[in-house]
Parts: sequence; C-alpha cells; structure tokens
Amino acid sequence: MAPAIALLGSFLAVPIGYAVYLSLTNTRLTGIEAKEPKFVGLDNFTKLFGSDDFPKAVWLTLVFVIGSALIGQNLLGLALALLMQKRGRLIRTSVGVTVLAAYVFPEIVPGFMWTSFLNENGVLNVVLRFFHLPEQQVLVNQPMIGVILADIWRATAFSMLVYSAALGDIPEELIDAAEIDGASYTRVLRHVVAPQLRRTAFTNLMLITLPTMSVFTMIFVLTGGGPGNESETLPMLMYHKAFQFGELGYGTAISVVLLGFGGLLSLLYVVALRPGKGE
Amino acid sequence: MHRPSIRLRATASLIAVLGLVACSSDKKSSDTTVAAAATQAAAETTVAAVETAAPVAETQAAAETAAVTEAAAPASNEPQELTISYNKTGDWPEPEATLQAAKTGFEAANPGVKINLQSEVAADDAFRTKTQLRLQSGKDLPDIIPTTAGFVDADVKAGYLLPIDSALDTWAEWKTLYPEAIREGAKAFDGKTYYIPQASNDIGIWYNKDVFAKAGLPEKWEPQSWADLRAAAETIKAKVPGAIPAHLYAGKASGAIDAIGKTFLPLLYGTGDSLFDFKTNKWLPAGKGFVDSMTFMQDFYKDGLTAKKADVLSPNVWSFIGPWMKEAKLGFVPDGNWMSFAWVKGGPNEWTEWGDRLGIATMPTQNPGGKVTIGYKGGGFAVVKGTKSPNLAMEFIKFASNKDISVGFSLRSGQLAVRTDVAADPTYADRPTIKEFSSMLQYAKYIPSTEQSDKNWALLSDIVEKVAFNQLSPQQAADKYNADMPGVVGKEHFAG
Repeated sequence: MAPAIALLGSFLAVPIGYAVYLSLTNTRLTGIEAKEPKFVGLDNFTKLFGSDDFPKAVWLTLVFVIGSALIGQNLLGLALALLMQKRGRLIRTSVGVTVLAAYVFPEIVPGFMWTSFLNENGVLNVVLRFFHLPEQQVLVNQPMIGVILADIWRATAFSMLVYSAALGDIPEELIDAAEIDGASYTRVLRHVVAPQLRRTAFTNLMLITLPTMSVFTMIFVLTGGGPGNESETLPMLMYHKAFQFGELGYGTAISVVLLGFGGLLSLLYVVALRPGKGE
Repeated sequence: MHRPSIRLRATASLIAVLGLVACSSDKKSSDTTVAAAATQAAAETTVAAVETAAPVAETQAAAETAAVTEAAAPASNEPQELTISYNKTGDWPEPEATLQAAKTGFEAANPGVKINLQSEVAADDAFRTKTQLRLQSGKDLPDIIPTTAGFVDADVKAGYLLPIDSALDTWAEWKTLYPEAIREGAKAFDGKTYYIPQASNDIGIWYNKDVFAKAGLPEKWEPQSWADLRAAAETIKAKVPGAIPAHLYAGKASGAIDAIGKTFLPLLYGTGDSLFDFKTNKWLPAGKGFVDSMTFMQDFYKDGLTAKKADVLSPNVWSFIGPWMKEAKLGFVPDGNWMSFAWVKGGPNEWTEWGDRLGIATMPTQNPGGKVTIGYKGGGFAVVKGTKSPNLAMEFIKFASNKDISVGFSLRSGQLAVRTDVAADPTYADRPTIKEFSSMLQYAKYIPSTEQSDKNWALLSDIVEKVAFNQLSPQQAADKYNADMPGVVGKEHFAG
C-alpha cells in the first residue's frame, strides 16, 4: 500500500494541492505579483463566477462534451464496432487501422489537418467549388461545429475499441439461441446485445467525457477559442486568462473549477457503475 | 458468430490500456498543473521548433563586422559564453538578422567568446509568455532576451531583468549619439535603463496607387477625416472588384498590440480622447471617442469593406499585407513603418517598384483638419537577471547597437533610426518611406509603457475583435472596458 500511496500522493495530490493553493493567490506572469504573490482567499472564484465569460465557457464545454463525446465518439464508435463485427479479417483490419491512425497521432497533427481541411482554400472548399456549391467558412462562422467534428474524427477509435472488445465477450450461444428462436437482427441488438453492453457503455462514457472536457490542443489549433470567444471552452478560457492576460492565479482557479466538474462527473459514473444493481 | 481472434483482442486491449494512460495523463496536464499546460501551449503555437540557428556568414554581416572598431573588453572571470533566446515569426527578419550580424562581429572581435542563438518559431505573445514562465522558474535561463518598452516595467518589478546603466556610463556613444529624449524614454519606472532602443516606429496608412488609380482616386492621397477613409473604401469596393478595400487590424491572434495599435488607437486618438493620462499615470475610461472609434471599425466590417474574416483572424495576417499590396489586391491599410520589410531586396515579397507604387498617408482625425499617429518606442535587447556573464552580456548589447548593425536594421525593416549618426547616413536617409514616417512623428501619441500595459492590451484586443465580429456593440464594448479595467490593471491605476 505504502508505495501506491506515495505514488498517488506525489503525482496526484501534490499537483492538485498546489493548483488549489495557486488559485487562492494573485500570482501573475510578470510584474510585482510574479515576485511576491499575495493570498487573496476566494477572490479569484468570486471574480470568475461573476464574469460573463464563465457561463458561456461552461455552456460551450457542455456543447463540446455532448457533441463530441456523448453523441459523436460514443455512437460512432458503437456503430463502427457493430459494423465491423461480422466482417472478414481484411475489412476489420483496414477499418480498424484507419480509425486508429487518427487516434495515435499527437493531437496537434489532426489539428493542423483539420485546419487545412476547413480553411478558406482547404479541401472542403475546393470540393464545394467544384460542385458549384456555396463555400463554407466553418471555423469562422460555426467554430463549435468545426472543433466537434475534428475531435470526433480524432477520438472515435477509443470507443470503437472498447465496444469491439465488449461485443467479442458476449457469449455466442446467447445470440445463436435468440436467432434460432427467430429474433431479427434489431431484436437481437435490443434484447441480447444492448443489456450486455450497459456496463461497457458507462465505462466508455466515463473514459471519454473526462478527456474530452479538457481538450485543449484541438481547439487551440483550430480556432484559438475564437472568433472572439465563440469556441472558448473552459480549458481555453483558462489558457486565455493565465497566459494571455498573465493572471496565473485566476487561470488556476478556472482549472480547479474544471477539476471539480471532472470529479463530479466521475462520481456520477462511479455511482451508476456500482455492482449489484440488476446484475 | 465470428469471434475476433485472440491476437486481435490482445492488441485491442493493449491499445485500450495505452489509450487510458494517454487520456489520464492528458487530463492531468490540462486540469491540474498550469505549468504543464503552459509548456504544452507554448509548444503548440507552432510545432515547437526549437533550433539553434546555424551561423550564417552573410556578406552583409561580414561587411558590418569589418567596420567595427571598438573591441569589447569583457571581464575575464565570467564564462565567455552567452545564450540569446528570441523568436521567429513568419518572414519577419528581426531580431534574427541583427543577432546574426552581431554574433559574427562580436565573436570576431573577441576571440574565445561564444554566442549561442537560441531561436524558436512562435508568435510574439506566445513567445513572451513562454519566456516569462522560463524567467519565473529561474532555471536554465538565457542571458539575453529581446524586449519592448511596454514590457520592461512589469518585468523589472518581477525581478527578471538587470539594469545596464553601469555599462552605458562607460559608453561614450550613448551620451553623444542618442538624443536625450530617446535616453529618457528608454528608462524604466525606477529611473534605470534596461535596454538600448534600436529604433522608433509609428503608424501610417499604406495605400496602393494602382488600386487607387483604378478606382479613380488620387495618386497623392491626403485623407482629411474619417469620412474620407470611408469614402475611399466604398469607392474601391464599387469600382475595383476583387480588391480588398481596406484592412483594419482587429484580430488578437496576430498579437494584442497589433490588434489595437494599428487601427483602433489611431482612431481613438483621432477623436481627441486618450487611452492613458501621462500626468496622473492612470488609464482613462472609455468615453464617446471610444464608442465612435469602435462604431467606425464595426461599420467597416459590417459593410464588407475589409478583408475576409478568416484572414483578419489569422495569426499571420500582418504577413499577408506584403503580397496583397504587391499584387494590387488591397486598397489601403493603417500599418507600421516596418511593413516595407516585405518588399525590399531580400524580403519575402521582393518588389523593385514598391517605393513608387505605394503611397503613404498620415492618419486623419475624426473631424477634418487634424493628423495623428501612434508612436511605438522601439524595442531592444535586455540582460536577464541571473546571468553568469552580466558584463559580457552588456558588451554584446552595446555591440548589437553599433552604427553599422543599426543601419542594416533600419534598411531591412524601414524602422526609424534613434542614433544621430544612423539618421545622417545617406543610405538610410534615401531609403523610401523614411522621410514620410519621420515627418509623421510630430503627431505621435505614444503607447503607454507601464507595468499594466500588456494587461490593458490583452483586454482591449479582446474587445476590439468582438466588436469587429459583431459580438459586442460599440456601447457594450465601452461598458465592458470600463467594467473590466479596474480588475485588469488594478483600481488604483484606472481613472474610471
């Protein structure tokens, strides 16, 4: 136990504790507050909860998490897993590798790829122009759609893998029995496969919502949180305040709030996943 | 039913586990430790290309070296090695070109001394953030960093910089060749000097005479008021299809100071209002002039008289001006005197006729009759506190400001000389645009450089971008500015 506690303590508790401490000071990047930061109590938090930026950032974070993780990655991953299930080795491997390739790249690479896909003279507009369709400035006019699409594209592989593994674990006899009884594919899905996937779905949701909530690189590369603050999720707001306004203390306060949201979500899933309920 | 083979499942679970590890470490880095996020962020602006610049022996650099007479005498008990950290953005040649020339010359004049040029590809704001984090950590410090007047006070208060007065006292050129106003202007709040200014700069309107001719506008354009600017843009829009009538800087991605200093501030000062009261040393609240300026900008954007949104928001929008002007795609743009770096020989958009085909007008005031420009106190190099070789670093800074390197600097970028011997140099005086921008200086309103400057710029550039893109009305912008300023610069520094 002791080594585990020591590890957890040094890699988790200490940084979190330090972040909480920083969030209670007026530390800045430069100026006198860089040399002699003062303890300001909960000032940073009252300032944050009172600002116009905060509700908007929370809302955009929510949109991003629901759009990218809950709907996009989760459902697309499940669909891919189901579609690949009964296919031959060649198709499984090629689809799997293609989807995985997007996932193994460092986030910055898909970020740049999507920028060049969506920008003014990008592939999207070249194609649209070819078909004489109106050009789209997605990153300027619908920035949230742009970042959500890009993030789904990047991160779906994880859900696909989780669901593929779970589907493989469903005993074949169950499905065979249902099929012999004359159940259609949709009925097999609903009554045999779906209940078996329930726990997997919760685990998957927990594993994808948390990182999606703190996605930074993708949004930073694609829109930088802009135009204005039209795609400024909480991590972007944190970066913006900490490193553009130089208010490290305030920025850290935002990260502590983000951490709080993450903790709440995890708690929710842990409760939902408690064993012994209908098992 | 087909079961996936054992191997496939093993691979899948291995990848899943790896993914998990990646996810959790990802989360930690952006959730809990600001420093980690910062490193990440700084690296991300551009794919973190840290490179040690290879010594390029340009003929120009060699020529500059040959003319150097003064050999420095660094104290021998210090390490004879300096590391200079600076950034490269787009095609902008500085400070790299100056540093290369200085390195070549300094190493030749001081055998045994080694100068390491540590460059990073990063936008100015991101590089500055990273540098500050680096200085705050106090570890693995560079000896010299580039700085600008607006940053010095804050960095001195944070204890990042070393005063160079002792070196300047023994340097005759400082007293004889730098005018008193320049020397005074370079002082920080504490009366000490931390850098040697390289140049002074101001903002004027660059216009393309070919586009103007097509639109039936005069070859020698002298706008008298905002209405003239508006009228010219409308005429270009109507008569020169395909040309961008005007570019008004408003995107914060290309740098906070660009987003406000090139368009909004010349407008604001043209209304008679100010940003800062130099007598009381306080920032002034937004009033009618602020609202009028924002309205003028927003109307330009609303009525399609500017560049495309995506271009305005690009971090590299400043580097588009070169090709736009060369290809006669842009009518006019209020921009810095340094813009000609793009067209000069060796620049990214070489254009032999640029001096003839481009005109320069002074920014008019809101109502007819006045003229205005924004003056920027030029930047320079500063010595980092904590350097092991302070004397050597100061000698290097002096060397990098010598006449030949300064002339080269001004010729490359069109920035205005601060040394009297450079100003008198015929190659400098005959360079196109020098005369125009020098004569504009009489109307200059200076950007305040206090400890709060960059906080103000961050706020104001944020607001300007939101106004340009219709997320705030001009009145809401003024209200937001007045509401946020006390928190951003501190109540005691705001006269609201």
